Amino acid sequence: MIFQPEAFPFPRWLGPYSPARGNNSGFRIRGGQLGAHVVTDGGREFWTAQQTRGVLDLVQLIKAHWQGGRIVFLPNGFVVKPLQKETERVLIGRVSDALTLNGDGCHVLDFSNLRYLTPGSSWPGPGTIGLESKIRSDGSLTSGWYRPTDYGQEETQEVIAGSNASLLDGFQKARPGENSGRVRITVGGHVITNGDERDGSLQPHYVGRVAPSIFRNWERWIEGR
Amino acid sequence: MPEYSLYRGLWPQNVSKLAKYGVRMVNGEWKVTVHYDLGEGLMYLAVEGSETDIVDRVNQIKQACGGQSGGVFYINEYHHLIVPVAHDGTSHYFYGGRVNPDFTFEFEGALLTTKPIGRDGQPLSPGDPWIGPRPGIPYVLAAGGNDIYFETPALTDVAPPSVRAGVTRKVMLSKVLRDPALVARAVRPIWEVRGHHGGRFYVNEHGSAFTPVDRGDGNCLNYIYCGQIDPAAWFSEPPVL
Repeated sequence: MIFQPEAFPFPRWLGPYSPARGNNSGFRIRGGQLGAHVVTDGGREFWTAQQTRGVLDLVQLIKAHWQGGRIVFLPNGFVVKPLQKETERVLIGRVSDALTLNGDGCHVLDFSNLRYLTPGSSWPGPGTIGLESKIRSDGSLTSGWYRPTDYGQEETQEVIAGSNASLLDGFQKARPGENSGRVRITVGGHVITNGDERDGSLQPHYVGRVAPSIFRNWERWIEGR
Repeated sequence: MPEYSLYRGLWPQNVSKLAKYGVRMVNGEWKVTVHYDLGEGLMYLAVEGSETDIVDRVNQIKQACGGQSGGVFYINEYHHLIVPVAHDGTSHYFYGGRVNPDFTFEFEGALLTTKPIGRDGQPLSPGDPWIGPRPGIPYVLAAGGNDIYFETPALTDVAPPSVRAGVTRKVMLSKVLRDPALVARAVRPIWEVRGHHGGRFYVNEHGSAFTPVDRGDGNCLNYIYCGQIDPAAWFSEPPVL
């Protein structure tokens, strides 16, 4: 992974964003390592990112400013850090190239090489990473987020990706009988969703991929200081 | 033809038919009307007397902004006339100036008013049924019952303003007043009726607050008068030209 940090002071990020869902959701810096929690048959594991130059630079930057905590990789490569109580978010940098997570044992998830995953199959990685979004009945993706203001909050709803029949097809393989619902757009544009299992539990499934290049013009949500 | 500006305050948007005034052609004349329902079906009542100024303003705005004469309008607690005009499948709300009407409507031989007055002519008390017409501006008592907010499309800061597509402002009384005692004063009369679950209530042009509650028969809603808003413990008046 290649990481390009933003200049300090980091600009405010006013764009697409997903809040934390509990203390174990999303990518986090824990014990000096970047990773994310994965629920497996054996319980919850913290899968860590392969320590490339970019990962080390990102971890070092986070540790220098905040010691640790959660970060959000947006599908266009932006890296966003929520500040205290998530009332403010800053853009800390941009990533490109591959990211690989290593799990316990021999588990490896290389986001640049997921061609073996078929739409509808189980997602073999963390289920709480990425940008929360909604897939609509035409396969388009919308995202909604809020930011606190001095009068309350401002909520934004945006169509972030246009209609996509193959993505909808993948969603329906993951969640038969449904033609809209929540998804997450993860690193590299890979889309996942939680589907019902026979035992009633929710498990992440692979939906498909959208090219990160479609998330254009997101610079407009950067607010410099 | 004058140019009209988008209204910088609350746009009522999704409210029931009962919460809107309308301009309709009645017996060959444009009149202010309301929908009215006392559980026996929806009807519309025409205002008694002449309110041609409001009728004319509404029709001028509807025509000037690409619509046609007649249609819905609102008057809020600041006496601002707000006129929605359909635009690209949605409605934009324009400011129509200040008005201070005293609408009365004839119903079954008696005059109905939008003031907090009962059929016997006596002032309503909080908790009494609201029997008058129900046009008003929607606010929400937040779940928990300790704040009031409204939601409205966000506009740009420039003049004239335009709509920021996809962006909604949620304006909370606690953030605006920054005084817990004042917020408590504003919340209390609504909370007395709606309780800690909160919910929607309406404020009309006389500052009267009323809220729909389940009648209990599974069919209809009763509207209950909550009291008058206190301008000192309320949202500030939106800027107008």
